[in-house]
Amino acid sequence: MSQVQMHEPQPDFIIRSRASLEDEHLQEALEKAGSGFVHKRQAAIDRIGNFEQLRDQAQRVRARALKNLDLYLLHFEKKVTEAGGQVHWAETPEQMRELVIGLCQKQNAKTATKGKSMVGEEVDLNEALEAAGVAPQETDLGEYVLQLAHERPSHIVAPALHKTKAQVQRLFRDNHALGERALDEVADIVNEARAVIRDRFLQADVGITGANMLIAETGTAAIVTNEGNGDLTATLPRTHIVTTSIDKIVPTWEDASAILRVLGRSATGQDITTYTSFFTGARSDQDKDGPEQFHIVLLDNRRSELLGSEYEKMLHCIRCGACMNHCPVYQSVGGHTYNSVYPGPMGAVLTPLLRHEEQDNQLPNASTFCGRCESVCPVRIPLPGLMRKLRDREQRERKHAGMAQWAVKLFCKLSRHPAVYRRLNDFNLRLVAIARGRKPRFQSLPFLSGWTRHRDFPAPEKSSFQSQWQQRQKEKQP
Amino acid sequence: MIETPSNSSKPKPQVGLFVTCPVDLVRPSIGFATATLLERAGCDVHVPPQSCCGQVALNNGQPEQTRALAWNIVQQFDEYDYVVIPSGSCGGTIKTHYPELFDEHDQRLQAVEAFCEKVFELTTFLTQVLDYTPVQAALDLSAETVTYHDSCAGLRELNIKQQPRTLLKRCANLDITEMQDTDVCCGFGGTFCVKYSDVSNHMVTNKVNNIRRSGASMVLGGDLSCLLNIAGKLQRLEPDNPNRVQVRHIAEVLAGELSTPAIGEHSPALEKGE
Amino acid sequence: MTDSRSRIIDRIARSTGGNFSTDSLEESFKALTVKHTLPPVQPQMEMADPVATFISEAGRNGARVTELESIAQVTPWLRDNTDNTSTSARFHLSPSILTQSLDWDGLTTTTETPTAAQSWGVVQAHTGIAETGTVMSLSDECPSGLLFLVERLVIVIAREDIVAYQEDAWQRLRARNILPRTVNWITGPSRTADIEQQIQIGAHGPREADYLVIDKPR
Repeated sequence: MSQVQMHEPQPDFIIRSRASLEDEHLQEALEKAGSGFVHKRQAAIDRIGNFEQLRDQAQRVRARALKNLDLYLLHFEKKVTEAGGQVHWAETPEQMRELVIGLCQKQNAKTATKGKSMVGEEVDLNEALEAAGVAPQETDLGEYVLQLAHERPSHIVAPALHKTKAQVQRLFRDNHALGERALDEVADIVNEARAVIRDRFLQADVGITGANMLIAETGTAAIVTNEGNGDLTATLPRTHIVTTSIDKIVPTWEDASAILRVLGRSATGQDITTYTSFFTGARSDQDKDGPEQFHIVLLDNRRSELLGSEYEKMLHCIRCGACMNHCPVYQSVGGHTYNSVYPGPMGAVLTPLLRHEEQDNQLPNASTFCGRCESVCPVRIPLPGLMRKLRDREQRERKHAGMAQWAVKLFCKLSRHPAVYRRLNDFNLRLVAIARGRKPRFQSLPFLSGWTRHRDFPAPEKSSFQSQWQQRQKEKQP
Repeated sequence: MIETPSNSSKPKPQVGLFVTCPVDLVRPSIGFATATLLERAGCDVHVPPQSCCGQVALNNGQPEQTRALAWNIVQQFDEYDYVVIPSGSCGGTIKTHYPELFDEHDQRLQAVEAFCEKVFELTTFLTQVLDYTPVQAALDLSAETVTYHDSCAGLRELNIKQQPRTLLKRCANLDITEMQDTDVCCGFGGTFCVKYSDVSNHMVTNKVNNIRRSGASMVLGGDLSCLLNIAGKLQRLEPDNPNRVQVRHIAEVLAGELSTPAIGEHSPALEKGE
Repeated sequence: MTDSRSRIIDRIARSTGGNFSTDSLEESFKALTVKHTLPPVQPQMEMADPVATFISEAGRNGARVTELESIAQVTPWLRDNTDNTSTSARFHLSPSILTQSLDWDGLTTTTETPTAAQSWGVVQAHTGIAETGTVMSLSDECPSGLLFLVERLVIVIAREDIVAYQEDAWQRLRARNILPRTVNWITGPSRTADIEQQIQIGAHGPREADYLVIDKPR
C-alpha cells in the first residue's frame, strides 16, 4: 500500500493546519461530524444519574491495573496459555511486525482479515504484511475506505471521519466492479462494502484484531464493535491474532464492566456498543466454532517507561475519542494534521511520549488549554496538564532557546519588579497612543502580525490602570 | 459567607484588586468598574504594585519563571483578606496552578496554599462570598438581547457558569440569550493565537458566527483576552456596520458604567482629538 | 522474544516494585482482587423489574422485542413473520434451540454455516442483561459465527434468565465453571456510522435483531 510518503520529512503542524483549513472536503466532513458526537454523548450521560461516579470508578480501575501491571500481565499470560493460546512480547514496533509476520508465515497465510486496531496502525502493520506476502484486508467500513484511499485513520474511533460521502462513492466506483449497483444512499455504500468483504471473511487464513481490554483474571481479550466485523475476523479464520499493548490490562470481569460503562457513552453516546465480545484462548472441544490458534502480541513501545513517571496517567487512556470530539483544534484541522496515529488531545500527549521526534513537540503546543478534553475524559486524564509538562520538557531538552522564549523570560524578569514594569508600560503606552492617533483599533501591528492578519486589535488608553489608579488616589488625598 | 455590608459593626473586608495585565494595559475601565463594584459591595479596595500572574511562562515551558512570579504575587497581596481578579484565566492560574508549582518539601507551599484560599474571581466573589444584591439595579438592560461567552479557564478550572448570569439579573435586570457552543473556546489561548494564527482564526470565526446567530446586540464575558479576540474579529469582519455586536466585560455592566465605548469601538473623545 | 518479555516486565517492576513470586501468580492475583473488591457503581436507572427494563433498553437499542408465553410459540411466531418477508428463508439453528422439542414443520432448517441472503439465525441466549438490553451467548452453546453471518437474528431468551446488571451476568458465567472461547454480548442489530456519522443499521452482521422473551421456557 501506499504509505510511500511516510518516511519523508513532514511539514510541521502549522503548515499542515493551513492546508487542512483550506481543504474543502475535509472542512465539509468535519462540519458534518461536528457536534454530533458531543450531543450524543451528553444524551447518553443524561439518561443515567451517576455518570460522574462511573468516571471515578473507571479511573480507579485503570490506576489499580497499572499499579500491579507486571503481576496482571503475567497472570494474563498464564491464563491465555492454559486456555490454549499464546502470548508474545514486543518491545518495539519492529518486533511486533516480525512477530505477527512470523505467525502468519507459520500458517502459510496468504490473506489476513483485519479488525480495527490502533496498535496495528502504530506499528504500520499493513505495509509489513503486504511486503511479507500476506494480503491484509481491512473489514471495518471506515478502515476499508481508507485502505482503498491509501490513507491513515484521522480519528481513533471513526477512522474515516475526514471523508465525505461523495469521496467514498468515488472510491467505490474506482475500485469496485459496480455494474448497475447504486451508491446514492449511505445504505447503498454500506451494502456494497458488506457484499465485497463478506467473501473475504470466509476465505481469510488469519484474522487480526485489536483489543479494547485484556482481562487478567481469565486471559481474555475484550473487543467492542458495532459493525460485527471484529467478530467475523476473530471467529472464522483458523488463527486469531490480537495486536494490542501492555497498558490495556484490567484485573477482573467486574473491572471490565467499569470500563465498558464509560467507553460507549463517551465514544459514540451508546450505552453499550452493539457487540461486546470476550475471547479466551483457542477453540476447545466443547466450542461450536472458533479459531484453532489464538495469539496475543503485546506491544510496549515505551509504555513501560511511562509507568511511575509524571506522564503515567496517559496510560489510563481507554481510546474513546471523546477528547478529540470535544477539541476545538481537532475540530478545526482534523486528525491528519497531527501527523500521528493518535491525533487530538490524547495524541498530542501520547505521540511525543511514544515517538519522541522533534516535530512531535509541536503537538502539545497546538492547544489553547481550553480544558474541554479533560472535562469529558471518562478516566479523568489531566490532558492539558500533561501537555504543559511536555512543553516544559521541550524547553529543558532545547539547546538554544528561541526568540519567543527569550521574550517570555525577559517579560517575566521585568514583571518581578512591578514599579519598573509599570513605568515601562506607561512609556510604551505613550508610544502606542502616538501610533494610534484617532483610531479605535489597529489593523496591523509589528510583532503581532499573527493577530492582526485575522482581526483588529483594540487600541489601549494612554496610560495603564495602575498609573490612573495612583493618580486618582492622589487626587482623593485632602 | 461574610456579613453583609449593612452590618456596620463588622470591619470592612480588605480586598486586594489584581487587575491582570490585559486590563492594566488595554482597558483600565474594567479595573475601575471592578473597584466600584467591590466598594458598593462594602469592601475597601487596594491596588498594590503588581504585574503578571505568570501564566505566559506557565504555559510556555518555564516553570521556574512562573514560580518566581507566583511567590512575588503571594507576597504583594498577602496582607489583604481577599484577592479579587476580574478574570477566570488569571484566577485559574493562581488558584489551580500555583500550588502545583511548589513541591511538597518547599517551605513556601503552605503559604501558597493558604493564599490561594482567599483568591477569587470577581463574579464568584460577588455571588458566593458576598452574596452581592444591589438595592437597585445599576441599569436596566431587560429590553436588550445580550449573550455571554463562557471563557474556558473560568468555566472549567473555577466552575464559573451561573455566577455571571445571577449577577446580570440582579444588577442589570438581564436574562442572557444563550448562543450555541457558549462553552467552546474562542481561539485566544495566549500565545496560541499568534503562533497558530490560522487555527485560532477558524475558532474565533466560529465563535463570532455563533454570537451573531444568537441575535444579540451585545456579548459579555469575564476575561478581557477572549473579549479582545472576539471584538477584533467582529470588527474585522464588519468594519462598516455601525450595528455590529458590541463587546464588553461583565464588570462594566454590573457597575452600570457604560460611558466608555465598547471594546475597540470609537470613543467620542478620540473623535474630537482630545 | 523471551528477552523482550523479561525486559518489559523488569521495566514495569521498577515502578510497581514487583512484590510477588512468579511461582504463586494465582495466589498473589487472588489476594489483590479480594483486597480491592468494592461494591460496583452501576448506572442509576429504573430496575424494580429487570425484565421490563431489559425490554425497554433493548428496544431503545434497536432490537425488536416480543413477549411469548411459552417456548412452543417460537415456531408459530417464525412462520407468521416469514410469511411477510420471504418463503425461501432458511433457518440456521443453534444447538441450544435444537434441544427444545419444537415443531419446525414447514420451515427450512439447517445447522450449516449461513451464506445465503435469506438466512435467519434462531438461537437461545444464556443470559439477558437489563442494564443495556443486552443478550449473552456462549460459544459452547451456540457457534459465535452464526450470530454474525445471518441476515436476521432471532434470539430466544427466557424471562428467568434476565438479570439486572453486568455483574449478575458475570456471576452466572462463573457459576458454570467453564469459560467458553467466546462470550458474545449482542445489543440490537449491527450498525455503522463510518460514512459522515450517519447511523446505518445492517453493517457486517445481522440487519435485524428480534428478541423473543419467553415466560415459560420449558
